[in-house]
This record gives sequence, C-alpha cells and structure tokens, in this order.
Amino acid sequence: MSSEVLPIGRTRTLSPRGLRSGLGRLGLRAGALVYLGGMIALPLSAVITKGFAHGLDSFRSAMAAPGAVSAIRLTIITALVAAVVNAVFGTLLSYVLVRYRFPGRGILSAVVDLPFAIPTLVTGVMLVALYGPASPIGGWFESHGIHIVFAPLGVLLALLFVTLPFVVRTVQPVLSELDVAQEEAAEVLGASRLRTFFQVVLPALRPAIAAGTLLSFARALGEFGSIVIVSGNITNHTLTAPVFIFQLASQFRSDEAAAVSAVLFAMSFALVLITYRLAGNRGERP
Amino acid sequence: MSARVEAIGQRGTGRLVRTLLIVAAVAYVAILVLAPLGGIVWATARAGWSNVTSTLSQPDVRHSYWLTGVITVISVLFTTLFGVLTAWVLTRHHFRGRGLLNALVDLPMAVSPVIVGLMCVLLFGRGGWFEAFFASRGIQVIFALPAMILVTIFICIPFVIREVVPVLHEIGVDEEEAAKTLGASSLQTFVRVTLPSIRWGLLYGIALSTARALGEIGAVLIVSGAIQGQTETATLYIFRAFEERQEPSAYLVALSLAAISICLLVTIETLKKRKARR
Amino acid sequence: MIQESDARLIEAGKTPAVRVEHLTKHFGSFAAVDDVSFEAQEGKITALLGPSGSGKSTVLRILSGLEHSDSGRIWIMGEQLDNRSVQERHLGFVFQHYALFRHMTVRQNIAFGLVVRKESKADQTRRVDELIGLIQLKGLEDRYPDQLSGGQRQRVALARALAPRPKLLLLDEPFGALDARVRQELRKWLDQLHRELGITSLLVTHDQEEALELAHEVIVMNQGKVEQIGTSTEVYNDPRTPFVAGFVGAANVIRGVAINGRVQFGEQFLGGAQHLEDGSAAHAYVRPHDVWVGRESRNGSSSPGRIERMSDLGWVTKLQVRLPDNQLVIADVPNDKLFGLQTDDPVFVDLRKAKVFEPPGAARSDELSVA
Repeated sequence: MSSEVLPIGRTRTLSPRGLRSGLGRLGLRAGALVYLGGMIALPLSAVITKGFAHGLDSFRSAMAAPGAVSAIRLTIITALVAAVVNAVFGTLLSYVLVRYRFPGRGILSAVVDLPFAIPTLVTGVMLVALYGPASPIGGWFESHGIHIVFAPLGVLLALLFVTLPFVVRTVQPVLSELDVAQEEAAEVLGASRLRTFFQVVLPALRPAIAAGTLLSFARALGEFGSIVIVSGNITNHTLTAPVFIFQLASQFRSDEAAAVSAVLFAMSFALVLITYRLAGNRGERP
Repeated sequence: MSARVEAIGQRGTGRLVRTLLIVAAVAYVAILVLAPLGGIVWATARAGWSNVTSTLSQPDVRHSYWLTGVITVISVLFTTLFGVLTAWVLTRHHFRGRGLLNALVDLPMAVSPVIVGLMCVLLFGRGGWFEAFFASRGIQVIFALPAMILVTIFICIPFVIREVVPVLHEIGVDEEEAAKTLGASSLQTFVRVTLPSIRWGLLYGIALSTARALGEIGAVLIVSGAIQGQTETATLYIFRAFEERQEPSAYLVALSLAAISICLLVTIETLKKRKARR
Repeated sequence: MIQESDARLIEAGKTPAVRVEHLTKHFGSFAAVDDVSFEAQEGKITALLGPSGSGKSTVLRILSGLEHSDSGRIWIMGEQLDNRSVQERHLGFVFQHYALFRHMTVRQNIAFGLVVRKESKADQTRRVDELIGLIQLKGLEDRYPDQLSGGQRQRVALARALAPRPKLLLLDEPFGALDARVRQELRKWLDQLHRELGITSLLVTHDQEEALELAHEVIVMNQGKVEQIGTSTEVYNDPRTPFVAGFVGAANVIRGVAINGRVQFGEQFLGGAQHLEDGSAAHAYVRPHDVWVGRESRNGSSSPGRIERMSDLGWVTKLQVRLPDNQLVIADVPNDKLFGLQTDDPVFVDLRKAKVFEPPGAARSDELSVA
C-alpha cells in the first residue's frame, strides 16, 4: 500500500488548526530557505558579480601577474593526478574493507576517515614534520634527489591525504549493497574471479567511483590549508591557484581575486553538478 | 549475508590475491596517513617537555585556543540548529524549489576556503555590499569575530545536513505518524520520536563540523587579518609560528588540534557502535 | 445535506459508529478514493477488503487524519471530524509494519499515548500493566522492538493503540508483514480480544479469508470505489459485481454470449443471464466447490467435458475439466463423491450455481462513453 502513501506535507484543510499548522510549515520552509540562501547563495553571487563586473578584464589582468598561469596549471595537474590515484586506491580500499575480514580491518576503516578529522593546516604541518629538512626521512629523500617539501610532490601528497576518504566513502555503501548473488551467478556460469570483478562488480561501481573521483578532484582544486604550509608557495614552481588568490586578496586586489575565484568556483561547481547527476539526487530518493 | 560475502571474498584465485590486496591497501594508508601522523608525534616529542610548557605559557597561544573555541562553539551550534531544520524541510516537505535548496547544501564543499574568505570580504569589506550598513552602526565585521564566525558557518553548513538527511529518509514517517495518532503534537513527535532516531547521525555531523571548524584556516586567514593576540585563532597561530621558524610550537599546537578532532570522532564512533550492538 | 443525513439517522433508529459520505481523494490525477460511502456499526469489526491500490488504506488514513480528503465527510460516534487534526481525533491506529518506536522499550511504547496526553504516572502504570497482561507479553516489558518476534511486535503495536482508550480502532493490514502460521494465530487471538473488549474496529486487508473470518461486515473495494457492502455470507455467496465474484473466493470464469436469458458457450448453455441483452458478452462465475461433476447429465445446465488432470489434496480432489469449446473448469470434489472418476474420463459438469455478469471491461467502456 505504500504506493498510496504520500509524504505528510500536503494538506488543504482551512480550519484554524489546519491554518496554524500550515503557517508552521511555511515558517520552517522559509527558515531553511533564508538559511541556505543567505549563507550560501548570497555570498557566492557576490564573488561572481564582482569577478565578472568588468567582463573578463579582471581575470586577464590577474592572469598577467607573474606565476598566475603556472599556478592554475599546477593546481589542475596535481588535482587531476590526485583524482586518478584516488580512483584506483579508493576502489581497492573499499573492496578490501567490504569483501575481506582480517585483523585490523576496523582500524583501517577508521584511519581512512582520519583526514576528515585532521585540520588541513595540520596535515601540511605533519608532512613537513615527516619529510622536512629537519627530519631524518626528509633528509634521506633529499640526499637521493627526491624533493617532497616545497616541491610539487609535497603538494600532491597533501592532496592525496586530504581527499583519501572521498572515493572510499562513496564506493563502500554501493559495494556492500551490491547483491552477492550476481557475483555468485557469474562464477557459477564459469567466469573467473578477475573476469567477475571487471565485468560484474566494476560496472556496478562505476557511477560511484566516478562520483567520488570528481568530488575529490573538486576538493583538490580548492585545497589551501595543507598546501600553504607544505609547498612553500614558490612562484612558478609550487604556487597553486588558491594560494595565488590568497596573495591577491592580501594585496587588496579583490577584483582580480574575485575573477580567479569565480573561474575556479565555476570549475568545481560544474564537477559537483556532474557528481550529483551520477550519484542521484539524495533528496529525491524515497 | 556476511558469511556469503566472506565466502565470495575467499573463493577462486584464493589467498594470494587476497593477501596482496590487503597488504596494498594497508600499505597505502599507512604511508599516506599514518606516517605523517607519526612524523608530527615524533617531532613534537623530540622538542621535549620544555617546549610544551613554554608554548602553552605564551598568552598569544592561550588566546588563540580560546578564540578557536568561541568560534567553533558558536558556528557548530548555529549550523546544528539550522542544519536539522533544513534537513527536516528537505525530507519531509514537498514544494517547488526544493531541488534548488538541495543543490545549495553541497555548494560549500565545492568552494575553496580562500574563496569563502574572499566572499566575506566582498560583502563586508571596503566597498562591499553591506559595508555601509554595518559601519554606520559601528559594528566591525571584517578583521573581527563576526566575519570569522560567518565564514566558519559557511564551511560547516553541509556536515549536519549531509549526515541527517539520509537518516531521516531511512527512518521514514511511520513512527512519526504513529506518534500523531497517539495524540503527540508536532513538537512532541519531533522531540520524543524523531530526535532519538537521528541522534547518532546528528552527533556524527556535529563532530565533523567541529573538526572542520577547529581546523579552518584559508577563510579565516583572509577575513581575520590575523592580528596577533586579537584575531589569531589556533590555526593562524600555527601558520605564524611556522613562518617565524618556531616549528616546535607549531608542531605542538597542530598536534593538539588533531588530537581533539580525532578524540571527538573516535568517541562518537565508539558510542554509536556500542549502542548498535545493544 | 446535514438535515437529510440526520433524518436518515432517525429513520435507522441508531447512530452508526462510523459514517463516511462521498469521500474522494486524488493523488495528482489518480483517484485513489472515488466517492466512497459506508457505515460501520458500533462494537463490530468492519473490514475494508480489496487488492493493493484499491484505495482501502487511503480511506483508513483519511479517517485517522493522517491524510486529508479532497471532498466528503466523516462522522465518528456522531461527531463530524473532517476539520479535526490527527491528535484531536483520538483514534487507535495499528500500522502494517508496526511502526513501533525503535528506541523505546515495550513498556515505553505502550505508555507513549498516555505520556503525551499527560495522564498521571499511576494511571499510566496501571493501564500499561493491564495491556501487557492482555497481549500476553509479561516478562518482556523491558525489551526493545528489535528483540521481539514479528507477532509479538504486532501485539505491542495493538496494545499501544489501545492504551489511550480510543473510540475507534483502525487496523491497516495488521498481519500483512507476518508469515502464514503467525497470521492464523494472531487472527484467532484478535477475534477473541475483540469479543472481550468490543471496540469498534475497521480492518483493512487484502486477504479475503481474514476479512470473512473476522469481520461482521465486509466492504469490498476496487480502484477507489466500493464494489459491495455486506456480511461475509452475502459477499461470498451473492456477489453483486464480477469483481467481487472474482476477488472474494476462487472462481472459474466461463466466457460466453447472452441469448434468451441464457449464456451460450460453444454448443452449451447455462441459465441466469436474464439481465443481459441478447448478443452481449457474458461471463459466468462459479466457485470450484460449487461445480458438480458426474458421469451423467443432471439437467439442461450440465455440459459435457473431459477430465484432464486430477490432484488429490487429501480431503478433496481438484479436477481440471476441459469443456467442448476448449474452456477449462476447475472443480473441487470431495473425495467421497468421486465415485471412481479417472483422468481422461468423459464427464458432465453442472454449472447451475454460476453468477452471470457483463464482462468488467465492457462495463467500464460503457461508463466511459456515458462520461
């Protein structure tokens, strides 16, 4: 009978009581609308209006600054690499967490969530503590010609750390809800484990993997706290777009900062919209 | 079910693949996450006890902790209250524009903290949309507490909503309807029936917001002006200590922030699991 | 309108416990409930019987106040309730999937309605103890719903609904989520409980056996409309519509054409089609246990046939008989009336107990053309 049951949100009663509850409902709705509209939509529209107030002029003048182009390039490349690595290792991690039982599985699962808990700035500090010149490990890498801190590799490590949970946490629920019977059927029909994985499991996970990957890419594009510490912010070398925006803003060049922000935001926003499509609209799910 | 999952995990190509996959997964996480965590613990420990006392005795440090606490408490309270309200409206009300509202919720995730800070400057800073309004009333927004709280709220908005919405969907309206037929008012229904059902999701969302609020840097850096001893939060202190080459102090404060967030999440996870096992 | 109803009430001599008039509810363009009117007597169980999607649950939800009708009126115990909120209606509602509060114990669940209505602690305790005894769950008061079996949960749900002493008990497929054996047991138990308490109850079910066994009166619903209202015997033995004939109890459908007040199928005839026009399609409904099978023709309404299959169910044998025009009839013949019939034997079937209707499809297209 559940097909007949609609949510309790529709009434047409005009009794005083009904009117009162109708007003209450309207009040709640208005509250939510003002909250999200005022706190999110309004500030975002400020950036976009300001950023495009002079068409693309502000953006062009910002791009003329030394290191601007290379900052954007570095941000996109590192975010892209981080997203790809996440896709692979995120899927591996969720598969191991869902399908295998082994000692330490609970701890592994908890550690995957750590990046949600650790402040991003602290992530940067941690990476410097481990790989910085003062640490024996950092010293060892340096002496072998591998530069991590104040180098693009450090930026990548920071991004990987910060975005670790995204793919795992989007793939995991889908994988654990995936009917084992499908895999069993494939095996009964004679498919090998590997074939079963690539032809049965992976296609079912593809939307979730894509969604998690895009989300981690979007997040990596905007990452600031960890990078500002670990990269050293060297123009034309390790300066990323968010740090570049920060520098513009602290020089009170807010028009240009807004222009670069608007472009960066448009990119992440597009990605999040695509993710939405892939993952299905959460609110619409019955 | 879990026996079948187990079985399918162990069949076929067998133990070698299984072992290899587990080792790869554990190694990846260990190198990426645990090693740096070990690094900072080691670096802090190496600086010794004197570093702890000397750092914690600095008035700037104490003030920065206090400020972080104030901002976190206010922003988390605010986002919790409005987050629950918004989650409720998103799952229990059906109206035009709900889809748009739903899409807005995730936006802060897609916005770089730096841009968040910039937005605040554009609204309240020199030449901003609301600058005149607040200036004429003598309220200092930018380079002061209000702006720092505003940006933290912006960043924390999605956490409670994202945790509570799926739970509200999952529990459905059955119990709420049952409560109403038994005579409970809307408020009674919410407090006695809905709230207990969503409490773990809600607490987890609160813990995530708290972790995020404690550690926010990009946005706060831009709107606060980072005035030492005034608008300097714990993260801003770490940032400055690093630039001034006082790494041991930076390590200590950073480690303390990480420890607080981790403890918070671990506590809630454990409580949740113990409750689920009952 | 009200005067007219009052007049009818006086005529009837007493007030029905529940009275529903012209209830209509649309979901979008779909008419879930379409001009439904009925009454239910005080102290009795009245069943709303129909397939899923027939609108019976929606009627119940409208009565409870969880859903609002587009039009129509509701009286409960003589009081018009349309503008009352769920809380003000003070009715008991038992949900199909129990809807027990998962975070509360059995005791807390049952007490809920008393707590929110701010009854005194002493009254709460007394009433809850009484109900726990009634549902035979002594010793399990402090368990949580997920520590109970399905049958136990449903009994708690019933006790919870009864606790605030509602005027009317609404049961929405109360046994729908249980397996067959538990259903049987609970049905018997509910019947007994109802005899003890005598509370007016409306039972929504898609299970005809449940409706016939428990209810004093059955309201058969289909596609948002009431098909027939009557006692169990009436709806079973004297179905007024082809839907009721087909839905309540198993029935053979023999398709034919009306001629001279009889139904012709192939070369054969059976009576009872006086109400149909000559040449119109006619469907004859006959229950398997009403089909007589024998070696010789009994009278004009017997048709020859051949036994295709026999399955012995222990006390009765199910015969599949192929008629000359190739239609199939199922007959349930008690084993002591078989007289040595075998598969492939030529037989005569007597279909005189058939009810003849215009085919449901034809009736519908007529209605549409009128509209």
